Parts: sequence; C-alpha cells; structure tokens
Amino acid sequence: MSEIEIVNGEKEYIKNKEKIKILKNLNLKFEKGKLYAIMGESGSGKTTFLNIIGTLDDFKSGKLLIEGKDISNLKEDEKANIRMRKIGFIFQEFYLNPNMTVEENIEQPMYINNQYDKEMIKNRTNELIETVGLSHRKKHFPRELSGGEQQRVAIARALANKPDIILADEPTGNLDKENETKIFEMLKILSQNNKCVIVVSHSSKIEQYADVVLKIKEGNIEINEIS
Amino acid sequence: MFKNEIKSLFRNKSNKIYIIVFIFLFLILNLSLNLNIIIDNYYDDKMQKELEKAIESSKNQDTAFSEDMSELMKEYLTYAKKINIEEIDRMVRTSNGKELTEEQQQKIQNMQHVESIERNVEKIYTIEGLSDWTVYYILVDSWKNCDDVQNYLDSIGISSYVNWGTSAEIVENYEKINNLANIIKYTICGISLLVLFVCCNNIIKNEKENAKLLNVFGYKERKIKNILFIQLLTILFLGACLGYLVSQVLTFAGSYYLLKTSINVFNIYNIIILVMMILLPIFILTRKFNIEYKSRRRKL
Ligand SMILES: Nc1ncnc2c1ncn2[C@@H]1O[C@H](COP(=O)(O)OP(=O)(O)OP(=O)(O)O)[C@@H](O)[C@H]1O
Ligand SMILES: [Mg+2]
Repeated sequence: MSEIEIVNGEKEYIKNKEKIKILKNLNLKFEKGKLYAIMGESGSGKTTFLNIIGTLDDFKSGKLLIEGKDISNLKEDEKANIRMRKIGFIFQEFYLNPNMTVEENIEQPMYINNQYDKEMIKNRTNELIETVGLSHRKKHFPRELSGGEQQRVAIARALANKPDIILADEPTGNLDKENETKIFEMLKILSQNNKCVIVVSHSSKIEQYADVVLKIKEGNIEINEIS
Repeated sequence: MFKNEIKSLFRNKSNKIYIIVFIFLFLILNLSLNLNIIIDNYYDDKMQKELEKAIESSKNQDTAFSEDMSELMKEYLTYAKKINIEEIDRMVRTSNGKELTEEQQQKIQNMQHVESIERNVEKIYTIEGLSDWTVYYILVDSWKNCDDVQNYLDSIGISSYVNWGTSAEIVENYEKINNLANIIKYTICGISLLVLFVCCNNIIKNEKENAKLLNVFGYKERKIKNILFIQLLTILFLGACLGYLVSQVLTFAGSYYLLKTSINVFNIYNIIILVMMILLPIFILTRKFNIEYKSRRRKL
C-alpha cells in the first residue's frame, strides 16, 4: 500500500470568470522512504498540489488516499486529525510564532497529541532541538535566529508528532547556498529514516538528493525516477 | 495547556498597549455607570445644606422667610422630633383638612418609596379662625421620590407640601442633570463598546497567522477558537480588573473631595453590564473569524 495515492485528481480556479485548470487528471503514488522533488515554473500549481496532499485544500474531483484511506470527503476536523498524526509541514517563510521561544514553537503541535504527557513533550522537544543542532538556542525567539536556524526550528517542529509524511514548500527559498545544502541533507536523512518526504523547490540542486523528480507543466505531471 | 499561548500574548508589544487602553476604558466606563450615584451624592449634600439653612431661618423669625413657610417649617420640625428623624426633607404633608379613606391610606402606604404614613389632628389658623385639621405626614425614602406621592395626592384632590422650601430649584436642576447624566452614560457605554470591538478585532487580527498555523498542525477549529477566546478574555479581564481597581482607589481618594461618598463598583448591575461588554465582542469576533489555512493571504 502506498503512503499517498492520487486517483484522477483535478483542480481548477476561476479567474476573471474564466476556469483555469491547474491540475489535470493526476494519477500518482508516493512511497515511504523516498524523497520527492516537485518542480515547475512559478504559478504552475506546486503549492496548490502540496496543499491538497496536506489536506489543507481539496481536489475539485478525484480521490486522495492516505495510507489507503480516502480522505476526500472527510470533515474539516477529521482532516485536522490526519494532519496532526501523519503530516509535518515546512514553509518557505518558516512560519514560526514570533512570540514563542524555539522550545515553545516546537512544543506547540505536541499539545494536541493525546499520546504525549508533559514530561514526554519536554523530552521530545529537547531531543528534536538536539537533532537540528540548536541546543544553545532553546530560549531564543525566532527574530534572534538566522534564516537557516529558523528553518531548522521549523523542521524540528514538523517532526514533533512523528509524522510519516513531510511536506516542504520551497524550504530553502529564503536561504543561502550553504544553508540550502544543510536543509536538503536533513530532508534526505528523514527520507532514509522511512518517511515520505515531498519537497517543492526552484533549486536544481534538489535533483541531487531526490529519488523522484516530478515536473508540473500546464496541469500535467512528468515523473522522473532517479536511480 | 494554554500556558504558552498566554505567555506569547504578553510578549506582543501591542497587546501591552491594549491592556493600558482597556484599563482607561473600564475606568471611564465604571465612573460613567456610577454617574447617577455621584450626582445623587452631590445633590443630597446640597439639599442637606439648603435645609439646614431653612431650619435656621425658621428659628430666627426675623429673616426674609415668609410667615407661612416658617410656620410650616416649625410644624415639620416638631413632627420630625416626635418621630425621631433627621432628614425632614423626606416628608410630604397633606393639608386640606379632608380625611383620607382607609383605602387611600393603604394605597399610599403601599407605594414604592413610602416608608410610613401618620395621621394627626392639628389646630390650624384659617380665615375663620382656629379649627381642627386632619393632617397626614408621609415619610418617603428620599427627597427625590416625593413627587410620586404628590402626584397621587393631586389626583385625589388633596393639596400637599414637601418641605424643601427654597430648594425647589435644586430639585428641578437635579432632574435636568440626571437626564443629562443618563444620556452621557449611555453614550459612553456605546463608545466603549465600539472601542472594545475595534481593539478586540485588532488583537484577534494579530493572532490570526498563529491561529492558522495551529490549523496546519491539526488543531480542531473549536480548539483554536477556544484559544483565541481565552487569549482575548485574559487581556480584557486584566484590563477590566485593573480599571476597577484604579476607579476604586480614585473614589476612595476622592471621597474626601470630589465624590463625597465612595461609589460601589461591585454593584450587581455594573458587573452585569461589564461582563456583557467583555463577552459580546469576544463572542461575535471568534464566531466570524476564519482560521482555515486556505484563507491565508500569501505574501507577495
Ligand atoms: N485561491 C486561489 N484563487 C484563484 N487562483 C489561485 C488561488 N490560489 C492559487 N491560484 C492560482 O493558481 C496558480 C497556481 O498557484 P500556486 O500557488 O500553486 O503556484 P506555484 O507553483 O506554487 O507558484 P510559485 O512557484 O510562485 O510558488 C496560480 O496561477 C495562482 O494565481
Ligand atoms: Mg508556491
């Protein structure tokens, strides 16, 4: 069973009273243990696609299956529950809470997870901060960190509830080359730890790390397996 | 559970400013809600002084007081002494010589502000000479409420006097100012509500991005709204409590000068209004607030 499966997925927007098909008749499968790179021109629908996989948006028609379960017709609250248990998000502009410390930012997703008690949250937070190498920045606020450090906090936060799927929308868009490499390496390690990692990126460097490259062009997706 | 959210709230500079705004708002609101009490206290005081003056002049007959008035004042004083009250400005006296029926007496007794009614036979000089009159003394809870009794007596054709003597003008003024105070009070309530709405709206707007982030993490809509609700409530409640405290300190300090009597900010009526003022904006705002990530406006 694939981690994510898309059957006949379609998406369109209405712009100036004109229907524009962003995604046409998609049939795709995503597996655990692989890193997928999604590429394409600006406005080609990469973010839209990623948001749909992340249950933050819906296909107009077609099915989205996560772990074999059709989630297209679930209620918002049920989708929220799936996001909590299964999906970690990483954004281009980091999207951290500016009024919370590094520690608090990482803790936040865990407070809705019934499987964790307070002690476990503290331990897991420390563990995550260590993995992204920010132990010395625990009590700092996002504005006191560099872009690369902020994105590492966001990665730690995305991993908080041990999701199987990691979705990253241009995670290195605001970073320099050196930090970009660091982040891509981290994402690669995650995929090697049996997670399904999907990364949207403009940087051709991602192709060095990806197992599969998907190119969106005029609503269609072209698949390139890199062996 | 909400500890981090509350903490983060106070790290936001603009929220600190809103707390200060709310302190002022609730202070002003509280004073204006108590405006009638403040005015009452002021007029009670003024009335008392006026009466003392009247009593003094009735004792020294050589003042400009009219014969009639001083006679009447004397009567009042005698009667007041008899029933042992000090504030004679609370008495209504009938003087037609007509008897009130049992029913009418009962009706007066049952009126809202009437404390007691006393029948008395007095010798009074009339044009024909000395004759026996039946006079009723009606004790009312405050000089402000003598009107009700007088209106009733008028309606059954019995003339009456309230012994405020020269202070009739004060009573008229009091009514005018009280009406004005009501207008001011409700205007301030309205403006406060508006300001509360605008402030709450901004506080929620500031938290919008974070709320949407919670939606991404998988917080259920209900939970996110609860968090927003608690955050707003914390700021508002803090502002309201501090505003209350400041107004209490002010009235305590001012009780010697301006307000004479400390106002009771913990009166049930005020508390109901304040609680409603706190809950209303929160209710409306959290209800219409869209926390879905989809609706997130992207930075361009
Ligand atoms: N809510 C919306 N309503 C209407 N059109 C939309 C909406 N969201 C996105 N679009 C349009 O859909 C197209 C795809 O948008 P999307 O954000 O997915 O592009 P993208 O590939 O992520 O671009 P970029 O690389 O610039 O981030 C764009 O033309 C955009 O204008
Ligand atoms: Mg995009």
